[in-house]
Amino acid sequence: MSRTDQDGGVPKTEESIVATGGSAEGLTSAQMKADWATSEGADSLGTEVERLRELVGPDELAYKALKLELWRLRDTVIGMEAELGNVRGRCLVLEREREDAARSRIEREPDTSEGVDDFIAAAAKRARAFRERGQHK
Amino acid sequence: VSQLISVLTPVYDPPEAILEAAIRSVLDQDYPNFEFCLVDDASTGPHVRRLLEEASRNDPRVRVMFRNENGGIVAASNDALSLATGSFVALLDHDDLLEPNALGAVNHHLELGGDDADYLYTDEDQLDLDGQFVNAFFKPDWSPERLRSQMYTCHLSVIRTSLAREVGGFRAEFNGSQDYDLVLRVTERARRVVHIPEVLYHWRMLPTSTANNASAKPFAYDAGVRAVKSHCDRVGLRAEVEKLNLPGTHHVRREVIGEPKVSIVIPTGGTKRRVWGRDRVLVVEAVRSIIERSSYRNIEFVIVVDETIDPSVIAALEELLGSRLRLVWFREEFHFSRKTNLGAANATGDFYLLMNDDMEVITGDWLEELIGLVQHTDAGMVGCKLLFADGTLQHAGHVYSDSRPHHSFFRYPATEPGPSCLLQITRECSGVTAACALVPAKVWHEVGGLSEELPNNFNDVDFSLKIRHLGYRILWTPHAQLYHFESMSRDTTVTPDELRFIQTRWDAQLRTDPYSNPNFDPMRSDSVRRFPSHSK
Repeated sequence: MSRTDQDGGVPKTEESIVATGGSAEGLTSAQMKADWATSEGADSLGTEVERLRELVGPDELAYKALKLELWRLRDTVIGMEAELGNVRGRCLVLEREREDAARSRIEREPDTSEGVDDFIAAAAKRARAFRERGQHK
Repeated sequence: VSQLISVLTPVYDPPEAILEAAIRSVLDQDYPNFEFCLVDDASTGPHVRRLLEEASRNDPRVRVMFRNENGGIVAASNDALSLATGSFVALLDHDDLLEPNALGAVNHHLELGGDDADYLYTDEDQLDLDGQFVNAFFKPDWSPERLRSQMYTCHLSVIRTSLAREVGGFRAEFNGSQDYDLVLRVTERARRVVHIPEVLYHWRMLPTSTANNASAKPFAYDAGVRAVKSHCDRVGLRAEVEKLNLPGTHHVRREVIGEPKVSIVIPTGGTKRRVWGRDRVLVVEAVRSIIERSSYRNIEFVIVVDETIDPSVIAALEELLGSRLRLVWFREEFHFSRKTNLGAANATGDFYLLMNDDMEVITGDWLEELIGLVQHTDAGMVGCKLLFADGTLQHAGHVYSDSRPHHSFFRYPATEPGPSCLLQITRECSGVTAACALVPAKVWHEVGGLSEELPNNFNDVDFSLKIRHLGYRILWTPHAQLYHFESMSRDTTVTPDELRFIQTRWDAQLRTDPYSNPNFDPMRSDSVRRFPSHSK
């Protein structure tokens, strides 16, 4: 039985292979070997291709995908580092605000426990006097 | 000599209790030699006339004028100025309060400072709706660049009366920012400006005031931009004034005059390090970022390299720079100051840009920003906003306190505005890092470059203080940004000898920083208030 018969009468041309596989890279090694078998030295060339494919990886498309993945990961590293820095920085901002507010509050409203310094009481008295002046009637 | 101070207050329909409090805060001053010039701008509330007449009747120092028709704050303020007979005028809004010792402190500083003080300003805070004093604004000493960036002097402002009149008083076209416009014109001619680091003014936060709500008077911010532009035109500053996102802040973008040559001096050992997960030769990537991202073109690169450097680094630099590369060989042990000085000695530019090798440019117009600032002002050096790899602040200017230099707001987020927006505006500071700073060649030679007694650390602190000692100002700008992968290329361990050296040479300057404030905790570099207060 001829190949033509097997394929339902449709001759297998180069164009049809491209149309189904998208590119020559879509061929299996066995198919390529079969085609090259007709030309001189094809066996050794096929072996070299196999060796190079082993070095590169599964195929060139996968290699490109791997590169994209690597770039994505690098961007993620930069982004994560920036986010970490931002959170770390926000902590500093909040600590500063808390400290500043605490010191301001103590000046306005003194702790009435024992040992309150005179200046705190004086400052609070002054502040209270201003507050009373500024109240809406 | 006791100066007669005229307090000027335009009045238009404030609530009764608030106006009464404002009047009492003046009449209760512990300094007696003042007059109080109140101008009612045709208020509709009957309590205004009653309170003003009562105050005038009870105290001969109160002078009152009633306008027949409402003319707005500028007209009323000018009328108040016309009433003044004192040698100084103090500006008080009708809803704010003076501290009881405000005028006394002003007179005290006038007595201390001789007779050439033409403008004084104090620290201030805000009085919230609950009667609490909040948001204290502790200001730096006189900072003209900061005044272009924001109206930081604000309250309490005290102006020599003759000068206020000489410059034409308040101007209607700057309504809403009429004080800002007046202060800009006054300080252009002032012989001396005095800062009193005490909270002597309380700005009341009302729903209608900008103290409470930045969007209450949007027209005021537009008027502020116009006031700064008008100032630039008067003093011959070729610049565009851009409104920044934070209300009341500006970027004065200078035009670069001509195309001066900038020599970028980079000392390097050709170090390779890992940044953002990738290995890089620091100097090569720094140079690559400069040539790829900078819009300014007239640059020469003076790269000072060790003899032991990997030849592939030289090859990479030659490939990147071609004829723009000036390679200088350094044949000694590591010595940052000597290495930089050697580079500068081989530079041929009008400006020297001192730069570490562990940098990467972020903003494309960074050089135009830096050149503009030193070309147009009496600045001797200008520094940049530097970020760590994680985007936090590495450098936002130095602060010198407690006998030590500090990086202000170290490790804060890059987007943090800081108290009173100081991290988002161009301003004066006591010093900047030499990791990236622009210096006119003339100034570099005047001060003799970096001091070689400091091989590793503090040479930039010493350099900054030498520059200021000659009378130049130092600026920092957030509009020139770079990454600084700090300490990747050298050991930053401070030796006791280095610290002792600068503390001996600059004892006073490291204790008191004019661009900080004595009300801040000297142990911190992030403007946290001192406790107990300095003024107590």
